[in-house]
Amino acid sequence: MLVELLGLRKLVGPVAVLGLLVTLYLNFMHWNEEVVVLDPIYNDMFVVNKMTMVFNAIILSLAVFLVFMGANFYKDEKKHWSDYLSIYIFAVCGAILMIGSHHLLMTFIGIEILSVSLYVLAGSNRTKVESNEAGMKYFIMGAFASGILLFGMALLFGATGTLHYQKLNTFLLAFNNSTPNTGFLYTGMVLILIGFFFKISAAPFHFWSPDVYQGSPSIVTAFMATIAKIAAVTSLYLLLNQVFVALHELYDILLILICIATICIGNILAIVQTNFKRMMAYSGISHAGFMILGILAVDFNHWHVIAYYTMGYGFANLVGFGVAIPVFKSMKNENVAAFNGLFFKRPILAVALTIALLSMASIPPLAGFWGKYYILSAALSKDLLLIVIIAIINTVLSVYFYFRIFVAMYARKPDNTPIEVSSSYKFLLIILTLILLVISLMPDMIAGCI
Amino acid sequence: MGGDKIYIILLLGLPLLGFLINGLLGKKMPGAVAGIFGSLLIAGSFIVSLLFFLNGSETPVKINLCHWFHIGQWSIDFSFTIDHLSNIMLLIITGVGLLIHIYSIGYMKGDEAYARFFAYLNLFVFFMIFLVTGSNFLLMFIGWEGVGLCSYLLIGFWSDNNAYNLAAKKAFVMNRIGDVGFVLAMFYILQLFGSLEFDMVNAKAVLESMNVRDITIITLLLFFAATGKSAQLPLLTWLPDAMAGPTPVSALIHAATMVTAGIYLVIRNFALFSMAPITMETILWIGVATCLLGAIIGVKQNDIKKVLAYSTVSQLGLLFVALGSDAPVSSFFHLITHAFFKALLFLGAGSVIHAMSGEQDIRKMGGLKKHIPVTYAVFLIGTLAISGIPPFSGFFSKDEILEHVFVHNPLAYGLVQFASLLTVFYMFRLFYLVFHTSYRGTEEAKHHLHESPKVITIPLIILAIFSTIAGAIGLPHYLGAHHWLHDYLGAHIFIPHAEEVAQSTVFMLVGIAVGGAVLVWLLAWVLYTKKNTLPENSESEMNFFSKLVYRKFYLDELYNYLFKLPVNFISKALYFIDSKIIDKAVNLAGLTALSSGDAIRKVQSGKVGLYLFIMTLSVIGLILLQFLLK
Repeated sequence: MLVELLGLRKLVGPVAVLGLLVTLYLNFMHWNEEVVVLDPIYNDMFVVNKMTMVFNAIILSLAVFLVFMGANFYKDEKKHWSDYLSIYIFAVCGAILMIGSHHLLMTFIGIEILSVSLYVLAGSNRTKVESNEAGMKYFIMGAFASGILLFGMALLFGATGTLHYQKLNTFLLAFNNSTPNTGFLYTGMVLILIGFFFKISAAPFHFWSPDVYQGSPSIVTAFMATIAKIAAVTSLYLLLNQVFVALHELYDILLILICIATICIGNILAIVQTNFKRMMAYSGISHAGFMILGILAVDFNHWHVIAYYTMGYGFANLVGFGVAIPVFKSMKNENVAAFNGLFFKRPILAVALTIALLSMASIPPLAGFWGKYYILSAALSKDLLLIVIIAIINTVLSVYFYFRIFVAMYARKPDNTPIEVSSSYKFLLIILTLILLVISLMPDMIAGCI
Repeated sequence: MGGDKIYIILLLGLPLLGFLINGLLGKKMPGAVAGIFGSLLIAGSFIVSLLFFLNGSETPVKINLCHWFHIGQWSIDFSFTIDHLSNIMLLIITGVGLLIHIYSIGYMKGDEAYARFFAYLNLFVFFMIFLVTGSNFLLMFIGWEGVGLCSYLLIGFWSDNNAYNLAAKKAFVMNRIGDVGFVLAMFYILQLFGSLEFDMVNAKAVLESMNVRDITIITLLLFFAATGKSAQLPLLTWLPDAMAGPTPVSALIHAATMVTAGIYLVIRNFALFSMAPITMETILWIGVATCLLGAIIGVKQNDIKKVLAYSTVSQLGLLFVALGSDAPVSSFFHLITHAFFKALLFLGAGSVIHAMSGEQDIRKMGGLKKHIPVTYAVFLIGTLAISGIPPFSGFFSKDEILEHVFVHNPLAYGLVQFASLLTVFYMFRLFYLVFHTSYRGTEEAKHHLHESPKVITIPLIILAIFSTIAGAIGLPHYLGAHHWLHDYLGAHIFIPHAEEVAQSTVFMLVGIAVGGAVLVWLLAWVLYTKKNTLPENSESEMNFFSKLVYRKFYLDELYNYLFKLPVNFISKALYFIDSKIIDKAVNLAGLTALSSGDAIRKVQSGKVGLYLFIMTLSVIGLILLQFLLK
């Protein structure tokens, strides 16, 4: 249903927004139906329920704002805007497919739709060497990861004879060590997980993300940091809980290791970065670590915690990049120094970025704080004390690199380069910031109604 | 109750909207637009308050906007209570607030940060409404901090003057000290009662026999918070300094509304307080001491606003005295009348300062009666009201308090009665020195003497009318009247049963108060108009006692020695420890992080081949690990 609608998208901005909004509306049509609605068209391969609706809604609303931001970003190349836009929409399509999927093949197709679109987008600035490099790197490594993922699926299929979530789950629940082909099964599962780790840039499969984030056009980076990451995390969360839940003793340790590595590497490396986008990449890596912790610790019937975390993360990132894009454009510089004296030049931008970064640094009472609070308290109730301590130490560390931006914005002298921002764009940023604030102030209400 | 929800959103939202729009777009607004806009929004809030008042329900209305968050088993809602108590507070805040907004349109005219001023003022009203309507301690605390912030911003409004900045800082710091009490009390309450909702806490305190020791600690902590906000001993010195802010601010924040937040806090939780006799005694005696101290210092001040500031301190002390004597209604009654006449006096003083081209020293005024007749008339009304001369409002409210104190504790009564006679003295001293005798100012200022424009005088006249008639809401029984406020409040808050006082005693007390006041009035008249006494011009002319009083009992200096120096010393010592030991350790940790960051960074060389190699190794590692674990 969603896919068909998106597939027919016309190629102009307003229509795209309208389409996304219509999709959003259609998405909510089934809101009050508690039962799981399986879409018969795809042979049980696609499922719509409250949870997928919520995650779809997050993705779609982020996408709507990204289209607005994109319209501004590509102002100077009107010609290509429609091309880019169609690819964006295509990628969103893939993200939705990943979330709603109920069959591993479908998931794979979703991942590929999303990834291929992003390969193209990452390299879309043909005149810039970095962009070309980013696209190429992303493609090579992404292909590698896809290969691993697909290989894992093949092994799994060999062991179980099915790739359908429900059937796999039934199979695994009845599973014990005497079943043949356990080696295939385990290896398959690990390979699949690794494929996902790559997509959400968890350490040690994160190498692509700083290079690609830095090289890609900023708007694409924003897309990767928000929609792509949220879709992959959600997809992994659903996969683990709907399929591999019977094997959780096995993958728990894996996740714990990956989680610790990701949080630490993300934060420690973020400290030494001078390029804002690179820093955001590492910050995104550490957030991915927290999301993995969420996947690990949050029960399936408390999925709204994950939804809340991703929501807060997504909007804070969007505000962050939303501010960064015009600044970079005017300053012709993507370093932290580009923000010098921003408060004196564009106070609204500076305040919006402050709120976004404070949220990411998880300062109460902002969304980032509540999200982490929920996840950490879930982890505590699962006796994951060690990770919680490591996570908290890292959160404190992370304050350091976020505050470097504040120092630049408020304490450094501004230079004379003006920052050009249209008033409609400012309005967009204010709306985004307000959304972030609303999410922040009403954690229970939002977590409660979804 | 969907309608109520909309009302409360309007009530809170309009001032907030004013803050946002004036704050963000104010610079681009021409002329007085920002002021008029801000006033209109407050008028909107006032109308909403009035609607609540007129359609007031018999029971308190609790409006739950939404659930906020829960931690563990504790849950906090965004809920607001409109009952008779908060409703009257709302009327004062928005009503007096509206008049002061209108006044400021004229008073602040030409100020370069005109819109910013109104933005802050709107924000203040927003937080004040938040404070009085919030239905639990946490929401009240948000308002409590918010008004503190606005007070800070407005005291330091003219930030070019460093002394003003220092005054703002002092107010902020002193309030923070009090806030510690609030926060601790909140934790204690949460722990003891499992809830922060006012109604729950008070009901539980009455129903279940709680440990008196716990209640005493909680109430003492809350009272400590109140001493910060309401400028009681020992946290009173910030209020006189706060007069650095523009005069409308002094009237609204530092006389009529914010400083009464402490009293409101006590009345709101009176059931809790009345269970702790030790706290009540503390409140009584702190109140008496502050009342007396403020009145004595007020006698020797020469700055028109400082006199009024110490008068406010003293009157706030009186309000606490009433609370300590188990008379919350009388306290609230005086709070209402005080809001009117003190706002009137401050705004009148503003009008005088305006006329005198910014001069605030009463030694340089005099004979202003014929130049600014309207201000003169309203100031006279204000002075009569604060002095407790019948039939002005202050008479009724003050007398009621004195009556309760007399029954409760005759010694306290004597001291408070003395303080209120001093009030009469310094107010008339001020009045005569400013408006009567002959002009003592500079020729240049004399040249500019003029009555303020209508936008300033009309709010003054309205306030004067209220200062005169506000006593009607609490007429005493001996006039055969019905004490409306008592019944109105009694429906919704806890009021201890008061002892009956014999009619003859009441008349005696009224006689002493009024007779004394008139005598003191005459004394002031003789001293300052007939004998033309003038305050000493320099400290060297003063004797020891005058000097002591003039220097405010050396309170600032005392605090300087008692707190500031030790704190400075400790902070220096800690700074040493911090910079030499902790910083070194932190830097070491940071250095380790940085160098490990650098080390890992080398791996991140940008070479795809290397990346893939590491990835492959990791894949193999993880698979092996998986098999090992199995």
